This record gives sequence, C-alpha cells and structure tokens, in this order.
Amino acid sequence: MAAPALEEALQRRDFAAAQAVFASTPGLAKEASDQWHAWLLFHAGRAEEALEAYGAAAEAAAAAISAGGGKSYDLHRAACLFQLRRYRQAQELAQQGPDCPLKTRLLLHCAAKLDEAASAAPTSGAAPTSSCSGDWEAQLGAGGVEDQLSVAAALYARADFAGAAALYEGLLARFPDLHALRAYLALCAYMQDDYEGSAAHIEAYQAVQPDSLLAANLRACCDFRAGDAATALHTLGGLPPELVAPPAAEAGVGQLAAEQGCGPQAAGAALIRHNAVVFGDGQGGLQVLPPLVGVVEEARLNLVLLYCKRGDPARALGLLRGMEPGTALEFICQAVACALHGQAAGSGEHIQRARESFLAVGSSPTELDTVPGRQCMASALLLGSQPQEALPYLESVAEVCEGDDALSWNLGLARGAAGQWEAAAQALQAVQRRDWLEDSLYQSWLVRCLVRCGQPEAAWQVYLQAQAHAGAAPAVAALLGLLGSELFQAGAFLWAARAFHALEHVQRQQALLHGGALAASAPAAAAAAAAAWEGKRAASMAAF
Amino acid sequence: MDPQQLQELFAFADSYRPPEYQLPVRLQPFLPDYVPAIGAPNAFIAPPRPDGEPDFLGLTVLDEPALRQSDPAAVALQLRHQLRLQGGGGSSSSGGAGGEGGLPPLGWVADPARQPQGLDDWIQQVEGLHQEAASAATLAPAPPDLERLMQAWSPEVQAQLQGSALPDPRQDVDVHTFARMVLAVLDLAPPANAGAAGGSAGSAAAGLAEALHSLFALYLEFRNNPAFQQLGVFGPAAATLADAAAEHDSAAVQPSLV
Repeated sequence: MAAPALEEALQRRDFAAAQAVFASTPGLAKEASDQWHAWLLFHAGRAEEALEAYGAAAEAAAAAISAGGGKSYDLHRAACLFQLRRYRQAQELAQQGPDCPLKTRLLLHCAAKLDEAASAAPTSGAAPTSSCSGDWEAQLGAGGVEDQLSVAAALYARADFAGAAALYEGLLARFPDLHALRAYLALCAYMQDDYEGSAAHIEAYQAVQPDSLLAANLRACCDFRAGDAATALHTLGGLPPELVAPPAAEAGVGQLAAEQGCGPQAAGAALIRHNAVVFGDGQGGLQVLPPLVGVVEEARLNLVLLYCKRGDPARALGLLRGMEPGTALEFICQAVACALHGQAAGSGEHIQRARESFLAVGSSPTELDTVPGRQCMASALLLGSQPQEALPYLESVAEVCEGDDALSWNLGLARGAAGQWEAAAQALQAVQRRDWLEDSLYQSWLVRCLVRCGQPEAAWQVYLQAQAHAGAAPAVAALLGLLGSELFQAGAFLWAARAFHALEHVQRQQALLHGGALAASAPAAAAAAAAAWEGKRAASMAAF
Repeated sequence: MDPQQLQELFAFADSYRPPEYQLPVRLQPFLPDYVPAIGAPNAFIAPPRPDGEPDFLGLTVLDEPALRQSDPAAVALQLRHQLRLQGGGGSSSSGGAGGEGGLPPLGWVADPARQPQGLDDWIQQVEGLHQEAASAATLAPAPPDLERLMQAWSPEVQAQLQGSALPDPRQDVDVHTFARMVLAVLDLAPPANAGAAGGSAGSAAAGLAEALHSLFALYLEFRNNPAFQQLGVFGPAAATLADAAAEHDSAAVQPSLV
C-alpha cells in the first residue's frame, strides 16, 4: 500500500496523516509549509497553535517580501482568535484585513458575540441587532452559499434558532449535497427543545457520514434530553476509547495532554469527556471538568453547579469571578452560588446579589412563564423573607418539579410560613436527601407542621430519629424545646410532658459530657434546665 | 390532696407560657441540570486552504477531524519506506540515504508502562508495515529448494559435464556476466522476468543476487556435508579458492542491492 497521498488524507479529514506528509516532504517553501501547518491545526481544533503558525507564516511572507497575500494573514489569525473566544482582539485584527467575504463574515460574528456579551442581560429581552451587523447580514445574504450559511450561524448565535433553521432548510432544498446542513438543522431543532426532530436530522446526516464525532455527540445529547442518560452514555461508549476515557490516572501524561489540548482530536475529545460527566450526573466531574474550563463553553457552568451540589459554594464563586452573566443560565448559576454562600456564611451582601440575579431572570419577559423563571422568582422572595409571596410561584411549578428535593423543601417552608400545616408537612416529608433530612432547620419545621396538623406522634418520631443520629447534641435539645412548646400549645400535654422530660434528660447528659469545661455557661444551662422543668411541670398538670 | 393545693398546681399549667420559636426560612436553591455541550453551526470563518482549492468543510461534511486519525509516526515510516524504494531506482549508492536527513524521527511511546495500549498499537503498526514490505519481496518466485538442488543429475548430464570445461574465471567479462554464466551452467539462472516484477532497475540486480545466494548456499551445503568431506572433494586449497571467489562475487554485487 502506498502512503496516503495528501489529497486523499484531506478528503478523509485525516489531518494527522496530512500533517505527517508535510513534515516528511523536504524542500517545501517555509511560508507554504507554515501555511499548511496552520490550516491543518485550525481544522484539528487547535486554534492556539494555528494562531502561532499563521504568525510564523506571516513573518516568512514579510521576509520574502511577497507583498500580495501578507494582509490576509490578519484575517486568518483573527479566525484563530475567534475560535479561542478572544472576540475583541479578533475584531481588531479582522478590521485590518483586506476587504473580502471572509472579513465580513468574521466581523459579523465578532459583533454578534460582543453584542451578546454587552447587552444580553435577560431583562433587556432580545439583544438588539446593531445597525452595523445588519448591513453585513444584508451584504452576505445576497452572497454565495458560504456567506448565507454564515448569516444563519450568526442568527443561531443570537438565539434565533427558527430563523437559522429556515435559512438552512431553504439552502438544503437547493443544494441537497450539502449534508452538513442536516447537522446544523439538528442543532437548531435541539435548541428549540425538539429532540426527536433533532435526532431525525442527525440520523439523516449519519446515514451519509457515519464517521462523525459531532453527530454521535449530538445524538447522545438528544437521548439525554429525552431522559435516557444510559443510552447517551452508551452512545459515547461506542466512540474510540481514548476519547472517552478520562485522562490516564488523572495525572502525569494524560492530565498534561488534556490541559494542553494535544492530539488531533483535541476539541472532540474534550467535548466527549465533558458530556460523559454530564450524562453521568457529575460523576468524576471534579477531576475532568477543571481542565476543560475555557475549552468547552459549558464546562465552567457545569463545574459551578457541581461545586454547588457538593456544598462548596465558595469555589463556585471563585470560578464565576470576573464573569459577567449573559444568559439566563449564567444568571441562575451566579445567583445559586451567591445564595448558598450567603446563607452559609451569613453574608448579607451575597444574599442581596443572589436576590438581584434571581429577580433579573424571574422578571425577564422571556423567562416569565417558564419553570426556571418561576423558580427564580420564588427563590428571590424566599431569600427576602417573603415566603407567603413566594408560595404561589412554588405551587405553580409543584407538579412539574415533583420529586425535586429543593422544591419539596422550599414548598414545605413556604406553606409552613403561610400556616398550611398539613400541606407543608406533606411537602417536607417528600424530601429524600439524607443530609437535608438531618438538617436541624428541616426537622424543626417538620416538627412544627406535624404538631400543628395534629400528628404529635409523628413529630415525636422525628425527634427520635434526630436523637438516634446525633445523640445529645445541642441541636437535639433545641428541637426538644421546640417540640415541647409546640405540643403544649397544641394541647397535647402528655406528649409535651414527655418532650420536656426528655429535654431534661438531654440537658443532664450534656452537662455530664462537658463537665466543668462549660462552667462559664452554667447560668444559661441552669436557666434552660429551669425552663424545661417548668414546662414539664405545667404540661404534667395540664395533662390532668 | 385538698382542692386548694390542686388549684395551685393547676395554676402552674395556666401560668406557663411556652417560649415562642422563630423558625427562619432558608432557601434551598433550585439547581439547574447539567448542560451537555453540543457545539455550534459552522460560522464559515475558517481560513481558506493554502492552495486555494475548495475544501467543502462545513458544507458536505462537518468541519471536524475524522474519527480515526492515522498515527503520524506510522505515516512517516511509510513515507520513509516509499522514498527508499524510489531512491533505489535512481543511483544505487545514494538510494537509502537520500531523504534521511529531512525525515522526522520515528515515533515513540512516551510512557509504555502506563499506556500498554499505545505501545501495542505502535508495535502493530510497524509490524504491519514490515509485513507489507515483506509481501512485496515474496512476489518474486521462491528460491529453489536446496534438497532438490542437491539431487544427482541424470547420468547423461553428468557424462556431458565431465567432458566440458567449467567457465574460466580469467575470461574478460565483468562480474555480472560471469555470474550469469556460472549460474546458467548450474541451471540456477534467475528467471528473465524477475526484473520486471519490481518495476525498477534495481530488482534485476536483486534477482541475480538471489540466484547467487542459492548457489553459495548450495556450495556450503555440499562442503559441510559429512559424506562429501570424507570424499575429500573440497581440499584445503580448493576451499580457499572457492571462498575467495565467493567473497569476490558477493562484495561486488552487494552494494547494488541496498
């Protein structure tokens, strides 16, 4: 067999082979070889290195004084910068390039990205198209197929997925050979939550081009969105193992390779590793995601969510530092991290920031009637200690979010604050998360709701479980105090007497445990003991 | 217990005011689901192909590397192999060394202990390459079997040989021609089309070399054969002479084979 010729390698998109062909071909002019090198790197998804290579090619051109194409290197380097999400620099560089459709396309997309960053706060609704990029669109819309496709991509970038899909449909009808358009249509359908349609488009593309990582990935995402994470993971598992496997032993060579984005499939591999974590509900994310931040766009937010779920909001905030939220999801992530950190550290400033972010999403016209939008409104009101106002929002999403522990918790507290004891107790009892069940605030609310809807025995059980788990902890004593007084108020004097009796017992145990170490707090302890005794005495008598 | 005392006791119950507990409301934020990454449609901002040809990337196919990429080191090996073949046809002396200086180093597996898979792949690729090279060589007819060559000729041929002289090494011919003459007498001459199979001039010499190899192998086989040693056919003088001839021949032919 002959070594694959260059053209053949390019046809197969085997950029690694093409690269080797160039490396082994002596006597190629420096500029030309740099140019090819850069082009191959660019398409292999290694924009950083491509940028350097184009720089080298430009220098070689300058040295050779072949003045002709020197300027278009600015455009090529701008394309690399764009790929690296350095839009501002890309825009500046592109403006220096010679006028051509490529330049217009670059400027259009830079503007779209910068627009988005500048004015995409959800409160302002759809980002206004600057007059400039409108001109470019008109200019390109009349141009060749590539120009029109570029316009469609710009529409997609501005979240006008229906508009983009219409453009793709029209072009595909005229040029049925452009199979990639089917994949773009699949992206549009996916973004419009039409996962079945998206899967159908992807299948059509895969029928022609089975050898596609992006298509396989999108297919898996559709499965995931359709609620079938297992199939999604399985689809990823069908790809070459070196792409899916996490970096070897999370250290050494593999880690380094992941960080530097080495290998011809760097971009694809990053995407696959990222999504394997997503489909696995965050499993292994603490190792896989950090090196992908800045490589895969979604990695940062997913890592923020992961830190929040693992109860490390401080790190989540660190990750968000310096980022201006643009999309609703970014606002929500920021609000969640701030809320968690603010409540844990008692920082009013963070809570205030969280409220503002939640309100920004919840009151934006696009999110007003969505589930996340209502969740945000409810969150903002709960953070502002207005649980009664939050209640209608929570009730409106209660059915959709059934089974979500956060909903059960928030709904329980809001109903409790509104005095709907039985409904509150029901919601609270639906909570599944172990660490939340052991939370003293949760237990307190549950005890109160149960007692007030006439289930003293169930309330007593809550105490027994807390006792079994935590022993004679101060939190248990506090719970008993609450339990006793709630029971007394509810007229369940016998239960109240039991509670106060148990409280006395716990207090004595605590005193024994701590010995004289807490001598300073002795008066307080004595007062508490007296209160317990008084309660016990009163409850006992009342029981008669 | 008199009613008076009872009243006092009940007064405890009436006068007791349990403390009011203020339960704070703490938010458990709704955590959005993790977001999978799906990529975005091609923006058509990629630089054009350096040779100005259309690349159709993003049009007929998505602009992504193929799933299975070649190992650059393996491709380099293949190219090196090809260059060597081409070089062999040109001038016999510079054939192998021609492109050597510009070629990239062979690939290596950075940490074989950690990546047994990588090492296995690499070994397989190199083996595959050698297999290809080897199978190209076996296109030439297999060398004749030594056992068959050692069979005695028919009595008529033997009688004929006894009567005729062997080719005289002092004849005024070059080494190649002389070798062919000797081989022809022993019926070992390379087939005429051996050169055409390889497609390059070098393989004609290769065919001759193979035939000579058979000749010398046959000679060694006879010399080391105990029966012939006892017969004393290969006297010390004769052996030295033959060895010298062998060295002379192989030394002259060998360089053109590289």
